[in-house]
Amino acid sequence: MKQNLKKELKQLYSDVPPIPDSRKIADLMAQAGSKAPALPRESSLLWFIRTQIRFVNRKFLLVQFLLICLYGFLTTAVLQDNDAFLLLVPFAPIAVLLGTGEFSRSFYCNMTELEFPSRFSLTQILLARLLIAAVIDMLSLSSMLLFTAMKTYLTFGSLILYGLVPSLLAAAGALFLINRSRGGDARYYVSAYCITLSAIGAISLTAWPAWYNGAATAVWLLVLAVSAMAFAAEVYKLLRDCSGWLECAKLQ
Amino acid sequence: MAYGGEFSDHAGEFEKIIAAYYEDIYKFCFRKIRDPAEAQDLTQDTFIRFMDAAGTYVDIEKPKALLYTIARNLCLNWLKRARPVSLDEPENGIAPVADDFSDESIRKVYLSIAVSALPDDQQEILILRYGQGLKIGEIAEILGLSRFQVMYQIRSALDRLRKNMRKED
Repeated sequence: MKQNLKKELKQLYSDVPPIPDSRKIADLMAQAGSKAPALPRESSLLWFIRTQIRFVNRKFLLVQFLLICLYGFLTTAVLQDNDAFLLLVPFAPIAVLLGTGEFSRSFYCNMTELEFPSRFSLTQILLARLLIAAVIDMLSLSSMLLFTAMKTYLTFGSLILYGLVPSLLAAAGALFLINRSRGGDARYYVSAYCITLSAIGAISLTAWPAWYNGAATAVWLLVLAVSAMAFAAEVYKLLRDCSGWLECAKLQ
Repeated sequence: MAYGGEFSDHAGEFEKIIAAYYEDIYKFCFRKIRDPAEAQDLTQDTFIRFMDAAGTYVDIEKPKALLYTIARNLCLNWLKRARPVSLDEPENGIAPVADDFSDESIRKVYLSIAVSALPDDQQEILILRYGQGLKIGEIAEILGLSRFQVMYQIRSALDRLRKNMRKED
């Protein structure tokens, strides 16, 4: 009985007159042809990340480049041979600070709500931006390390430590602040934090030179491990919260 | 946020979609509004709106849901504006047709009357399921319902039809 009824319904709905005017289909086809280029084919995350690079503020890239040039000039032309690494610790957080501004513009420009219905989820958008910011920061840090290595007696391993630790501390702290203050104020807190970190780094070179002895390497390694874990935890928290939709947007 | 980034040259993409779905959308529009000329106009409108919206649609490689959604909304708007000509003509259902007095024809008439008596949303689901041959998941996507809700509505509609048909018998 059930199957009969379904069959009868299908027969009932099969009574449809033919399309009255086939010329309209031809007109529609002609219209469709004129609407080329047609449809976006690529929709992978990699394509999206490449597209996101176009949206990176050119001023940000210029400032990063100028920062590297300034660093290179100071270390190679101004500072004495053994003092070249003195700039590494204070400069590393500044490079990260510049990147966080670009990464968190969704929040301080109040664009998060607009980005909800985009082609990719908010999680993917922020992941793409985080990736771009991280690559740029790594390139900046690598350049700084190379300039420093050219004019210092320190081993490359020590330089990596002195560059990576402030960078990771800056990145972890910045994300910590962004995760807990998702509005326009976040960038001020992040700026204050990174500048403070940079200042501490600069002061420590003269006030606490023991920090840069070989004996303190273990402490640096410990701080590196802790800051790396803190960074990973904050990234996880950010991306996890993004999937919770409105939790990410500070509703004004 | 529509990314008008990398569009590869796929001339004919829209034409393929039109060729694949034009007849289905026309049949759907006809089943909703029961006027062939108007149904074709609504079908044309559906595809034009689809082409305009294509750049912002996330899953453009599966256009069926969007096409049916647009067509459905256009039909609903058309039905709101149009009014039935006579009280005897069903507003949103299938006009009974009986060319002869065979059992099959009479049963068909009873069935069409019984379908017309169903709530609008159930009639729509029956059209999509048995008229258009769509799957439960596709119907759920078009109507913005859960699969469970769609299955429940279908079962409820069939039960009512069976009850009404038994009364007529």
